[in-house]
Amino acid sequence: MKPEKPIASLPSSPRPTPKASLPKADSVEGLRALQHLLYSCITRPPGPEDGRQTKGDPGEGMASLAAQLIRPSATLNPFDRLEIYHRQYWLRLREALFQDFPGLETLLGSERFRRLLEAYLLRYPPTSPMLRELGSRLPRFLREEPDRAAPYPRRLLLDLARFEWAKIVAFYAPEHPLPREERTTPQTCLFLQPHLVLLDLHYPVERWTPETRLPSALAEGAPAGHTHPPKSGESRVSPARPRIVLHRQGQTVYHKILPREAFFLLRSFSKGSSLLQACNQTAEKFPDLPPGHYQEWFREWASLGWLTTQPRSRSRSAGRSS
Amino acid sequence: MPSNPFNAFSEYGIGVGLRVPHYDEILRKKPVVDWFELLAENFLAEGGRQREVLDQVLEQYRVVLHSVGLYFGSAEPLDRCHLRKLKALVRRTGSPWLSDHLCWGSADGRFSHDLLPMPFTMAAARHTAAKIRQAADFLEVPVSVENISSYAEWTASTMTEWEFLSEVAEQADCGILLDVNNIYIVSENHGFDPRAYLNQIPHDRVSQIHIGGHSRLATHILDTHDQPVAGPVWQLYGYAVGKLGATPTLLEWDDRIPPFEEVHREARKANRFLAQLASTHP
Repeated sequence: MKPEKPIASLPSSPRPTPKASLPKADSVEGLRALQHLLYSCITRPPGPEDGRQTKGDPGEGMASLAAQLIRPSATLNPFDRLEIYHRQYWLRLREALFQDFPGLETLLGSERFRRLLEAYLLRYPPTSPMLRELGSRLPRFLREEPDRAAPYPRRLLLDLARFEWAKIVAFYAPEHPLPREERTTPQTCLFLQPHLVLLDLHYPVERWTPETRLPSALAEGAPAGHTHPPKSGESRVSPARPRIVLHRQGQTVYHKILPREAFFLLRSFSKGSSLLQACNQTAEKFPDLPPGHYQEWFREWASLGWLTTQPRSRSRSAGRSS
Repeated sequence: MPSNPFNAFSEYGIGVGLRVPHYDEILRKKPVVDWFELLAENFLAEGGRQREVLDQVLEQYRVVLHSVGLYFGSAEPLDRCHLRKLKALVRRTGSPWLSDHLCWGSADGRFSHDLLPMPFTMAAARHTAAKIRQAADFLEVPVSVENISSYAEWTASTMTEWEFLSEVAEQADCGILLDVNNIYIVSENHGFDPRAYLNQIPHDRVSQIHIGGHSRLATHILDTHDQPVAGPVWQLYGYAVGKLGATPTLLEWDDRIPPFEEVHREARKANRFLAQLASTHP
């Protein structure tokens, strides 16, 4: 088993500090040190009681530190006052992620999903003021922690996380202006709309709902179209894997399964490509593809507004991975 | 006082926070509401349902932006990327002022997504005020800071909360969004007279008032915004408007949200205090 990566760079259990050395907030540096200390207290791992109890056993170190930082009230000691914030931190973030990844919660069960999220948040604490970006690194975390998927195949969990995160990206991303037909030539450089996400999956997670779940064979470990893991060097465009595009129309996010050739062609535009370049690359990869398919696809994509002449801007809301 | 530089000399009355469960009803029935307060961070995305709702709401209503992401009291500098997005939203909505909280919430680039209480020191006040000035300069609209609810007090504090709020507002030359429910909560949690708080802040800087519901637990009061405004908070509101005059007032209801009409009816209870005010301050 691989050694576990450190899960947080801030101290998870702040040690008691002698009173004389506590920061005083009488300068910006003092304020920074004091806030750093309190932040490390309220974001430390939740206790075995899951933070649900009002009162816990603080241990001598935390109680002593709390007493140095926080005044008691008529009804609460310093540790219990600090605990209110500790509890709120974990409740708020877990609740947000439960809302964003309902399929993962149903697959794993609430208790196991809760533990997974706590480990995720300890390694990847929130770095954006936008709460909706909280889950952006969950797929990355699942790649780093394959053992957390057992008894399910790790790719199943990863695919489901990528699919659920892609829905959030598709919902919130902007829509760039559509190309003007009279100005579009075969040499015009085109890009994917920011709300469009391409997913090359191993499992048909788009069919996942809490009611239907997945076909039982998949949950036992057989990826769609694979009886063995892909070999090194195997084409990314292998025949039977679900290739999905998520996109937004009006206020609703839709997904659509694409033929592998159409997926390949559409992916050519992810970093910008002219119509001519994209079609040539696709024709080289799939020489038997009838020309009529290209026309049909471009007609459909134009009607759905999937392509734009405006490049995507770099954004902190990651996760538009294909 | 109701109309002052900190609310852009506007004459707003009683408003309601715009919340997701009410979108359909508001867009369909178009109820008569003086103004809506929008949680700015919910509308920063450049697409999606929120943006479409925003565009439709703007066709019909006046809105004011309320932010939760600037963390004026964090030791870290302002997040310029976030500010740029807010500025675009201010321009899009025509919000006459913008408010955020007198709190901190991030350390070392990591966010708590909570409104954490400040240590009330002069150095913290200076730093916070400087950040508010920067934000107001950049956003090009008046900025107000809101007093928060809190459950802990720092041993490092050297002044009261109302002294700190006054110091920050004076140094930043900014407005105050006075949350009367929060004043009541902290007065109960920390043990002081809420009227002393109201008496000693600079009244001419109050741009807006918040009211909302809370939950009383065995050992403290939690700011839950999940029920009607409590009687003592209404009394304190009456006391506040007696001091301030008729001030734009907004009801916050964020959890266990009832139908829109019930929320709006609760907000309109503020009218009885404003009517009394008119009879005593014609």
